[in-house]
Amino acid sequence: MYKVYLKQAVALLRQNPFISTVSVVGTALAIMMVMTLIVTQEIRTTTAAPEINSDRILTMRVQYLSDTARNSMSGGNISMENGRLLKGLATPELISIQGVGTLEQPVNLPGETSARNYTIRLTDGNYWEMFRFKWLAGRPYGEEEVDAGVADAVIDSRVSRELFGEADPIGKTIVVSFREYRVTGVVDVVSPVFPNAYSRIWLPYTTQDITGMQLLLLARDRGDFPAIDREVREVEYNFNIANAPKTIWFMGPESRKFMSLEVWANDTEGYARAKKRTLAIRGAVIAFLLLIPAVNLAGFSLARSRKRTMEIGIRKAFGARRGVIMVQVLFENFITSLLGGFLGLGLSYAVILTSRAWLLDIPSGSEIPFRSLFSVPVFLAVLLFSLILNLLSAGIPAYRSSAMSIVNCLNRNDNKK
Amino acid sequence: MIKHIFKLLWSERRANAWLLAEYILVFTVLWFCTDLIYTITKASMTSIGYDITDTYKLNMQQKSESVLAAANDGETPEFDRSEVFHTFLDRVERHPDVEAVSFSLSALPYSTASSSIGVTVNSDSMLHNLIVYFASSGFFDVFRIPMMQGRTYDWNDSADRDNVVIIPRNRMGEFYSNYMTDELTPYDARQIESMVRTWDDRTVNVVGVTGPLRRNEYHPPQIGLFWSFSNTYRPLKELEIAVRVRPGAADGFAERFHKEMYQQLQIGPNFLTSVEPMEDIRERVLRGDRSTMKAIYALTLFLVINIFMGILGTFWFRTQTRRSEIGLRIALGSTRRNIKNLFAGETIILLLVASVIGTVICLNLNAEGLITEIVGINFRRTAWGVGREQDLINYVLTFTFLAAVSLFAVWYPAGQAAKTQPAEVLHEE
Repeated sequence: MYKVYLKQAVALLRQNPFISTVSVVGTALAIMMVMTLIVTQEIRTTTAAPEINSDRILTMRVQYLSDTARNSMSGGNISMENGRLLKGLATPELISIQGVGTLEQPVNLPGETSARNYTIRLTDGNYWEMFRFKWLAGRPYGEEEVDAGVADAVIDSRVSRELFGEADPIGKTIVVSFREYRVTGVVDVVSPVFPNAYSRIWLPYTTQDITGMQLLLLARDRGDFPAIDREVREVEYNFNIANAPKTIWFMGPESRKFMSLEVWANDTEGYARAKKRTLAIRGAVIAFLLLIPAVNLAGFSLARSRKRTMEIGIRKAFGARRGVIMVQVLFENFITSLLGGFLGLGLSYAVILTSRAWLLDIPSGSEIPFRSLFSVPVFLAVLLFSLILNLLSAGIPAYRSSAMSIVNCLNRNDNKK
Repeated sequence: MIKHIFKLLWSERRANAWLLAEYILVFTVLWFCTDLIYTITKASMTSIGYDITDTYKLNMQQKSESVLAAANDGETPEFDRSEVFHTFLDRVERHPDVEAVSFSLSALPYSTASSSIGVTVNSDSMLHNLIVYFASSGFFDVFRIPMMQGRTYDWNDSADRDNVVIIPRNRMGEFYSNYMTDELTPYDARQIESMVRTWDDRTVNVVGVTGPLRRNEYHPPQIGLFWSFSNTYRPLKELEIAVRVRPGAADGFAERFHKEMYQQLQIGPNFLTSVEPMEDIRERVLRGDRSTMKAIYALTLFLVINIFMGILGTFWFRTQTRRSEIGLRIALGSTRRNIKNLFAGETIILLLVASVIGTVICLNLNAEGLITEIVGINFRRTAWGVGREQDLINYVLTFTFLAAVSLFAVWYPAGQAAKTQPAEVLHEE
């Protein structure tokens, strides 16, 4: 039966190429806007090498220190002291402490009189276990070396080529911000898409002046997130007792989803509210992007279904029930929606690829992980949004034509029920 | 003809009321899109007053304490700041490509840092809250700040150091507090001779008035003061240091300067981290505003296409339901042209009525504040100095666009419907 519907739908599309084109393009446009939002988010939270565990990672980077006696509050990145305090959390499988983000520092070889700036990241030893880098030579520095302040460095293969040419860099010395480091390892170049893994040179955080820390907490399982949250609140509680009248609040721990949505607050309740609000705004934007085209497409669906009232009347006269008629109209429309949906997905890829600097805030030449573009959730989302758009735009016409009496249908008199 | 159209519209008033409502909604939305895009796009294409071509920012950093101590037998060394500062200035000035050097605090174009101060003007007691740009006299040369009147101060002359230069809002020299509204009569900046700083009650003389300046292309004009800060030798890393390069020397200047001066500018604890063309900084800073605008363009385009489709769909349906009427009209002697004109006339009159109601709504909604909140770009008309003429521009642009779309949406289906044989259409009855 659905085969017949399909044939009919195709025939209908052909019957009026102008209206068909407008409907398909209209659907495609709506789906394009929605999918651009969704795929952008998907790329931002992708779990591809080197960030293989990002769905299990929680981030902590902000602390608010209040003095209840003086009524003052100061917020900023987590201090070295508090960072070390939080590194003692028991629930996570692995905890890495590092400088917040990356910085640009002058790098050269000993004795050189000029220097070039490179992106530097300051990490601990656990960092190297949390991500899966492609090691081309050597090894990372470990926890003991970091704690002892040993000046070891990991560089990417492009830095190696620029500094040492084709020579083996392992064991050679580089100077970063006037301090000498020994190269212990070389990794493959990392795309700036990965907010935690990207850098050109990695150094132990104990070897440079550092202003703020961030922590990455790797949970054994996503189900552990609430437990980790509770443990952080416990740390705060103990801190507040020991340091009264000073109190502390750590933002998060933030899952990558809310990190990428840039949720911000300065207390627990505020954070929960901000999360809700961000999701509500996002939902409203998507609803807006779907609703407006749906209303507009409804006009076409109405015009189209009106042409067929006589046909529907005949089908009803031969015993078709209301439900059958409704399903048929919706199914036929769904074909159009789906056609527009996948066209829209294609367009959204084009939009993301051509304006990645704008949407993803990454250099325009950088690579986007293939997996995040062609994933099951992305295709499911297209199907879902096409279906929603279809129900919104064809629901009323389908209901109207199925609810009309046979006589009125045959008479093409749709002003009466 | 028009009377006939009104009669037709009235007799179908229920269906037409819906159309009218749709038009009013669409008109209102488009009005605000036009308003925002017109104002901001126009502003983003006009000069901000600073000339940043061939200018560069020198970023200085300090070596970490451990590195400094390691080079000084384990003890943290002390430096004479005045000596460090003058050695630095001297070495930069002597570079053959450098034409002018400036030091400033929260004064660079495209910077987001800002300071403000309370002053009273002349003998008036009204308190003004003004933006203050702390800048050395070189700042006016580096960025070629246009002067409307008077001169700049000399920051090396202690007698001249406390004099200030005023930045007015526009070329008429209008001047008042940044936080005040249009309701107050603005001062003429050229008539202001002195000001009193409220925090120390000191009177300062106004020696000059610049042309209007904006912080960046997406900001409204800023009213404020240029003020020399005393050169008590702050650490170089805290200062904004900018240079203007001699004409023709800009090619590869950043790399060349960094290479040649990296060693020489390691003065005391300081070292040169980077030489950034101001144009690069501009690109970086504007990226946020530009992407906001891109989002607005994209959303507006999306709306426009949808409005187009919506109107097309509505009229398509409407025209189709009136096929029998069209058949009847043709049978009674109307030409196809008559039919099209009738439908077009109906549409335009509907739109005209909607646009009048829409304009009344728009003028009373006063959505500037709301848009500023949502968009994050200051869009208040008082700040931009945009007058009522903008309303006319908005009306003309919005009406023209909607009229064009609607006419297309009506002509096509009406033409199609008028093509069919009257007998066939009438047969459907």
